[in-house]
Amino acid sequence: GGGSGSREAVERLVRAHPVVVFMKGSPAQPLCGFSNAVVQILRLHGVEDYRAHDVLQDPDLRQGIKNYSNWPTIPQVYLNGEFVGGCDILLQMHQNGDLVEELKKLGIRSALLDAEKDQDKK
Amino acid sequence: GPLARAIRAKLDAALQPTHLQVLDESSRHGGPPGAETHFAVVVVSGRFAGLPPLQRHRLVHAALRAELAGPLHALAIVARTPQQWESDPRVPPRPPCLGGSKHERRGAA
Repeated sequence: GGGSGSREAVERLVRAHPVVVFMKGSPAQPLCGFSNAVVQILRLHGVEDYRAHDVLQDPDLRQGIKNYSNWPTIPQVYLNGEFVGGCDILLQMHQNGDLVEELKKLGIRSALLDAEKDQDKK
Repeated sequence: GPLARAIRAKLDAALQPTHLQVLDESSRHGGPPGAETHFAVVVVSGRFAGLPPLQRHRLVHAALRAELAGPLHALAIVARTPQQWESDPRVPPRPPCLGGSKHERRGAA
């Protein structure tokens, strides 16, 4: 099938980059507190290079991404093409250290590791 | 309100929680108090044992499928086993609203 919300189109988007986020608004201007939380968490880890898709700009994508992941809400975070969860889960992963590990598997070194090193020096 | 009651009833039936909080957070997202569009749920259930967070949240979504297809616009979830809740009954602070609902044509998730 065609259209920006089709399974094929969504698949292409989630596989286009190691870190892909479907959100409301943009990383520069999030339009929802939960989407903003995802952006802020990624920023804390020094992840600034990722694909962000504003579902408010594309109703077909907005529905298509929910069908694809069988997940009813936005934001949605994909790591290495795999759906990881929304804002609550990303926050948990950030707090329990899982996000640092998942980023490492993608070859991304979390900025928090360097922050810890700096603290150890003091 | 009626949606809060429906959410509570569905989660009770599906997950037999030992602890359940259903919070209408609509007023924190630009809606009038009691708007029943944005909810947060704290669900403590033995059904979550052995399940990663994604699967726990999917169980909650499955119980609330009808509501999520309808008036329930956003749902924040805390899903813990009874042991986890006992050792940590704190709930993370909610992200502040950025008025996103105002940018949408209709209240749809």
